[in-house]
Amino acid sequence: MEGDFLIMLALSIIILNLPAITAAILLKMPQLWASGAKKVEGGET
Amino acid sequence: MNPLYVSVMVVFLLLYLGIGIWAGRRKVETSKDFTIAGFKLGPVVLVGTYLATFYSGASLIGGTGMVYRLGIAGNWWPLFYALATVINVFIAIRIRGKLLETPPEFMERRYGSRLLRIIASIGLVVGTLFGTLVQYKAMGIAWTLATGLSPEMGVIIGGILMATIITIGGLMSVAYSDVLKAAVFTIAIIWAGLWCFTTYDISSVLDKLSTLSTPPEVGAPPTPAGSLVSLIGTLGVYMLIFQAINWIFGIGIHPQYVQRMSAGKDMKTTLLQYLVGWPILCVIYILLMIASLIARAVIPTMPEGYTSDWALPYFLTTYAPPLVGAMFFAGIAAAAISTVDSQLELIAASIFSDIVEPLSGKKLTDEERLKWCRVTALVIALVMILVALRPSPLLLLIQTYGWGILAAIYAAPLIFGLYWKRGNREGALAASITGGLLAAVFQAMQFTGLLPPYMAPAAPAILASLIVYVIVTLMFPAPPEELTRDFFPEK
Repeated sequence: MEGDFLIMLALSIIILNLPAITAAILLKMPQLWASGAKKVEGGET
Repeated sequence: MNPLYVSVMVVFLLLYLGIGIWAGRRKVETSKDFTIAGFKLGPVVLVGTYLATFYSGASLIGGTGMVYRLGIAGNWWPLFYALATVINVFIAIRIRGKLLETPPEFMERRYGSRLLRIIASIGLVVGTLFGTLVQYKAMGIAWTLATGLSPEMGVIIGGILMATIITIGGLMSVAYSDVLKAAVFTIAIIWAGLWCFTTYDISSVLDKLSTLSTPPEVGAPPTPAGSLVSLIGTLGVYMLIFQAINWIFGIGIHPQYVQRMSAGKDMKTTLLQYLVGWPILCVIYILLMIASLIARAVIPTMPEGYTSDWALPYFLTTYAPPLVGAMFFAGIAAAAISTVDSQLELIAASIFSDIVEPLSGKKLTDEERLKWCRVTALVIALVMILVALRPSPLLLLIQTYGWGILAAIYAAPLIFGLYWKRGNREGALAASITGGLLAAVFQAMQFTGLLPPYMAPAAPAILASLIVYVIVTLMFPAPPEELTRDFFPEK
């Protein structure tokens, strides 16, 4: 019973941080997005 | 009427009005400042407005009610939102910097089809406008529980404040005031969560839930013993799979999040909203789950006249110290307002920029555009107050199902349009029309009992639209270079 709760807690901690982890990787590796983004007048890539 | 609750609510609403008016008057100079915050939101405001898009009356009432009813299996939904956000991040790195004033504009820029842009805008309006009705309701009930006055009064007061804010400053006012709303909500939940942690023993709560079999509401069927502490609970695997597809695509492509991607001042700021926002959301969702489980253990069945959606507010106001309850009600109001004003602004910007302006064929000066954006926002906000006071059954039906139609219209053209250069107008049109129609048909079938209840109707419609996009695209020539150049530049 408590086992399922702990699994949900662990899943929550991992999955709810996936967006932050993905964003952190992309911020660390700008070549993954900067090369595919074109500078537009008035905006930044 | 509890004076403490009323004071906290009034202070919050006055601050909301003050910040919204300040941002609108100081920061809005052009029509793009109004529609998309001038593409220049900094990290603090962007993170605040991003968090506020996730904080809704639904997450505080519907989401916690689900955990109260289903137990820990009710906590799958936040995990779907997080997985959806991973799709958001990959959309953001392709779409940010393209200076899209509204999400439907993408359809015309990428596919060269004004028809597709109008379909996308209509989908956006249908899918989100009436969805705000539930938020108006949450706002009204929070107001009633906090002040003792009628919910209609809460809808009128909140509605007028929101109409003022979005008319003066559009997304700029919404975004700046979202920082306040996000702060109120975050503090309210963390405070309530800490009180729960220090007052109740989680092991004892789980022990009690494992044997509990009373119904969650008066008149509801009994809860199967053990289901409240099971990962799947009474949901079943099929329902979870369909719900996952529904929500992961639904939020993954939702125009509200696409709008936030574009509003950041640069790509790093855009990525920061996910980097900073989700660890906070992680804490919030876990605290809400635990507080809702405690509520179920303490109140096994809601009293007569209350649905399980109101379990957490009822629990906190009955058992927690008054200030915790007062903050929680301000949090509900903040959450409901943050969703409504943001979506009304998005709808107003889209109706004007994607439908009225292109169809009128007139070239307006920026000053005229700003004026008409404001007029559109004011009219929509005022009409919605009237609709929210007397929602017709048809609108309530659209509110329930419109969201799925929106997801089915957007998913294929947006995702393939950004990652598959070969994707063309014909494929996008066919996918949008097929997805939207199928979502409506499946939803009607479920309404009449022709589809099993576990099947989220939008899910098969989304999958069908993805397949149709690929097949129809391959039947027609590749799109011209001038349409794809912006999105797939030479390296």
